[in-house]
Amino acid sequence: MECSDLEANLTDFLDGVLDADAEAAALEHLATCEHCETILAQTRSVIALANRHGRVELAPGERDELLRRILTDDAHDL
Amino acid sequence: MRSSRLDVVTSSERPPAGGHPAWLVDLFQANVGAAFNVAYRLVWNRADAQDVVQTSFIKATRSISQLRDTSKARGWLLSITYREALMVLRSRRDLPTDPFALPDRVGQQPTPEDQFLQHELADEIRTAIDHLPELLRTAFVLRDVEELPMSEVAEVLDIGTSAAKMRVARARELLRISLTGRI
Repeated sequence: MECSDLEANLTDFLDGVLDADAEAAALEHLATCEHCETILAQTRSVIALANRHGRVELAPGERDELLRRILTDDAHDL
Repeated sequence: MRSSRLDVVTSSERPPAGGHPAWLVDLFQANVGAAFNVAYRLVWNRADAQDVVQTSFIKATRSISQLRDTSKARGWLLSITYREALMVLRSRRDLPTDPFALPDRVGQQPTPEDQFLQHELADEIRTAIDHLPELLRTAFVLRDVEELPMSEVAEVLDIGTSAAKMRVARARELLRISLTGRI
């Protein structure tokens, strides 16, 4: 596997949906390629950061009020 | 005026008799945050994003007969929200085309973690997500913030799984590059 192959399959590799042969080839490449290992680690960091900090949250009061308006079918815009 | 607006909907659009079924209430409660997150990152305004969610969820209630498979309810609900947010976005004339003109995060509640060492990095990832191109941004938020499976991301965006995968991959790459040296 070349670097370009790994980059093309990075999403599937991260999602764990590569078939067994392709995953083994990816792991073999990563063991010897510092460049791809770095890209993989950085991409994992991006995903972890986004998962932890990327959400724009509703405040509890906003959430409750929004659900109340939805469940009472307060459809002023429809 | 509100009741008169509701009076004109057809019987097939009315909420189920006796109020909302329990599973629909559960669905709304479980996904109101995700829907708000998707909507906010398109319309850039908390009040507008809440209106999008309200309108979308009420539309979902009224068109509940169109949902054939309740196992796909989350994707169905978020796809209605996504389309509604796009409609709001495209109805505006004053779109912020300059990423640096995007509004501040007024009202954003910091998590306790934000107050410690990762505060700056947390802010950087949020800003970087905000600055992703629109097509990539929603795909990324659905996959990596809301953790939907790729097949469901594709459903929400009404595109193929391969296209969804490409959008997520491109978004991850842009974010990785923009945060190089910080991660």
